Amino acid sequence: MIYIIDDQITYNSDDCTLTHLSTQETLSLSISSGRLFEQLLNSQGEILARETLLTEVWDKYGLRGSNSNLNQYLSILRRALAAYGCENLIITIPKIGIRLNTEIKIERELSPAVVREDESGEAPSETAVSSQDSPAICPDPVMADKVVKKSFLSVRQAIFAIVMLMLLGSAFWYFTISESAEKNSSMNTIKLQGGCEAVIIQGMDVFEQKSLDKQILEILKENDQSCVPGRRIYFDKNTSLTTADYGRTILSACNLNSSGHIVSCDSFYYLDWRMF
Amino acid sequence: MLTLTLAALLLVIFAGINHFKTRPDDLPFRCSAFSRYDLSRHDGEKINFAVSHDLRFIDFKLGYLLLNGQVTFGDKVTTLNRRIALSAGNKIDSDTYRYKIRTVITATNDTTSDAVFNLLLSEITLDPDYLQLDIMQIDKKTYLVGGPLSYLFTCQRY
Repeated sequence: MIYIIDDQITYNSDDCTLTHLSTQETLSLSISSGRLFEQLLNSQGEILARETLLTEVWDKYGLRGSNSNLNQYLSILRRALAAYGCENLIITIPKIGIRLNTEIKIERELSPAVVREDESGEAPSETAVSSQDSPAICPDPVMADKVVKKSFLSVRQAIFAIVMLMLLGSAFWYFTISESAEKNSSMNTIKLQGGCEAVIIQGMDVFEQKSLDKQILEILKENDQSCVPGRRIYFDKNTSLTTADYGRTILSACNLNSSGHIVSCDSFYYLDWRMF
Repeated sequence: MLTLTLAALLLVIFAGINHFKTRPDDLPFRCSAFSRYDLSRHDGEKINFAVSHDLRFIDFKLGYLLLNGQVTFGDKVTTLNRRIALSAGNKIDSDTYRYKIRTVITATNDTTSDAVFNLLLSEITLDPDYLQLDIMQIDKKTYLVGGPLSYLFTCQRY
């Protein structure tokens, strides 16, 4: 809540600051001074008994206030206000209590933080009442410390969560990579006429592909095997002793399940696969 | 403290992955396959083996390779049913296992001559005394099995 006092001074109860409007000079009040000033500003000119102020400003927060404390803080407030050109705002009524000078105009504005709360859907009247009735607008030092600690903890927790996610991600990556590395190593996969895929175990160069296609399809045909989608062929050949043969050749025709894993294979091994 | 916790977590995660990942060296390793071996030479006599394999590495002391099927040698068709009993095995590199061939046990219904069977045996084994197989995982439960000369067959682990 921001209080505008006599169009000269503003008091922001959120951060306990007094601002001189014409010079924009700012003065920070102590937490207890701020609480005391807030009590007075919300009193609507009524007389506040010393006991009430001691309770509201100190006792409620686990602190022990005294009359001399109260006098001291009142004096601080008076001096601060006087420095900004506002005198006689706080009036002491001997043996009864303290009240504000009702001849001095005091306006209230919601501070930006409270305005945001309103925008987020809370009832404005409720907010205004609660902020007016609130005995402590300024953060208690213990509370403030807790808030700082809490926010620090949540930052740590967020970092921890991010690091954990990264760890899990890298673990998943490691698992996938190591699994696919096992599968692939130097293998090349090509698509064959018919729709099946052929894995060339030892890899191949680009010039080989056509002759490999032909050879694989011939071996499949010779062994009554189809090349249709959902089948994967593993193929390997070794150097032959003659240029007319391929040498030791292996072909495994595998059937895949719906998730792409092999369920069964038939293997064909040739000591000397015939080229012609 | 946080760093230590993270390091410990990292260790646990990666150790867990490595622990639960299926690897061929998780003995016992059992896999089965069907394969046709055409060992004919160009313009030579027809030599075909159509066999089912059951490969079992029970542990590093014990294992076997069961070969069961049909052999065509020229015009003659015979039955093959032999078990290559293995012992004293070890893993000689990341995916190669070598076992000593303790004995080859011929079933009573096996009608294939040793000379013909040895043609197949020489393709599979390192020499008459050792079986050396490369076992490479190519899919979740599928392994490519290679002999000393070339890859031989793919088998499904069970």
